[in-house]
Amino acid sequence: MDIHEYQSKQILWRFGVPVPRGGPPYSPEQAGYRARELGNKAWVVKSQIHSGGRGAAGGVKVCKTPDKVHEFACTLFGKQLVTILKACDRAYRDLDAVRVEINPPVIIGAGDLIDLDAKMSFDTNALFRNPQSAQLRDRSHWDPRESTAGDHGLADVGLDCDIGCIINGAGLAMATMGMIKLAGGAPANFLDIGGDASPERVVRAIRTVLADPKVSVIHVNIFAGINRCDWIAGGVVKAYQEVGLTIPVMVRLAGPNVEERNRIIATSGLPLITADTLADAAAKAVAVRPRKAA
Amino acid sequence: MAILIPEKTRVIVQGMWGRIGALHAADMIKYGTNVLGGVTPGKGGTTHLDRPLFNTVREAVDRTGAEASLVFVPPPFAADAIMQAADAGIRTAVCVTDGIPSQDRMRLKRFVRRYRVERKMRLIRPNCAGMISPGKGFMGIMPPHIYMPGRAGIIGRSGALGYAAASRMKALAIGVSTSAGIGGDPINGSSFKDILELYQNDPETDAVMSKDPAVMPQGHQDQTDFTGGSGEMTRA
Repeated sequence: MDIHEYQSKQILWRFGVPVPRGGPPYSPEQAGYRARELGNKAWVVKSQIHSGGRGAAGGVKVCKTPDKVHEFACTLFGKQLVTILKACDRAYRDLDAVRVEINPPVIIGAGDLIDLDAKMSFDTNALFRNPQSAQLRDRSHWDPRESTAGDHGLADVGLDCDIGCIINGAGLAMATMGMIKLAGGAPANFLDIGGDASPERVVRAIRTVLADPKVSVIHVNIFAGINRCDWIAGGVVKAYQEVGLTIPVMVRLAGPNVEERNRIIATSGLPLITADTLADAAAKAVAVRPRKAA
Repeated sequence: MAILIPEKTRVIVQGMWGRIGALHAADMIKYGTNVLGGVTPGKGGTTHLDRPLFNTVREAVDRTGAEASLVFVPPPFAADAIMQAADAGIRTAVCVTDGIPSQDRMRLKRFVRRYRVERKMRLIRPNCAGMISPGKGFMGIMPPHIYMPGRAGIIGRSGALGYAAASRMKALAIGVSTSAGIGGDPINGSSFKDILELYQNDPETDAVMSKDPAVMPQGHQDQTDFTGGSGEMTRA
């Protein structure tokens, strides 16, 4: 929540912060009157809007007489800036934007306001009803790895280190990365496999993580609600066969069909490392990392 | 009684005819949740999982006396579906749907707020695993067997982290009175504070386990949230 400058000053003043005397007038006449009432030789008239760049936009002015205060207040009330802000607000609503930024707006020639720079971001969840915005996406500016993951319906965030993480849910992912750090390791990424993770999805997740050459161990941590442990276990085994995995894989699965998961992993004959708790899983993943050449 | 979903709460499932809706509704029925019917527009008059389907929430409420609704409606229509529930007199709605547009969520929040307190619907927010009162019933997508009945409440944003907490608690023989997820969305229906107040007034809850990955490194900040009433924690 943002508040206006005059409100901020009033609050801080109550806590003992020295601020200049002043207050909000609600008309140009009141502005001139307040200036006389305050006394002194100069006054600063400032438009109270929730936006940066007020000075550049012509929203701030030093006035030497109460008449000048009145005059400038006349130009501020109900002026161009408001029109521009209203237009931005309409764009924000109509296009499902999450940000509409004009910075700086400047005054040209006879005092007209013009927007010099612009930034807009859109709500990805609303692109389905804004196809014209969806088309504007420039894929060449994306992190290639996050983009590939997106194509597969996965959310992957690249980090710098070597433990590749495949986890369901952002909360569990953050907890897992915390445990990895505590165990002395550091994550290479943060891949959220989401719900409904079929074996094929697990294979795609593993391929995505392996595309990062820094990854030296894969840490799979799934607590299944929608997901089924047997699917995830099946997916890991399938990935081993299809991708030809050579690096160690730590698998911690909990939730429905956990017995079937145990059977799949036990009978696969693959060198999968398993763990029951978060701490145990993180410690094992860190321990099996190949030593890096110094 | 437990909070939010006491014994015999009359529940309907919006989107019960769909694949995911049916899957989880079947689990809820198996667990003993009092599911009385479902809502899927166009399927009114038919039955699914031995329960009647209705075209509108209003019709479902009139015919079954439903008090609570679980929403499995896809993102483009989810906000509408929840508004319909609020309008039909549903008291508690749980929405599992992920990916509802931000502006729909804002509109929805404003819509629900305009009702008078005595008929205002409590919304357990989009993108959450739902809630469960172990041994009594659940509304959501959690695996119910990991929760042991008991006297500790659980609250958190994350679904999977909530499961992890519940199963650790079960391993330590700590039972759960109610577990409620408030969802990970920035615009949520019920806040930590809202749910903590319910726990505070629940004679069957002695303590609450509050978890938010964003505050884990600092330890027990959840306590300040409870007593200080600051409401929202920061979103990670």
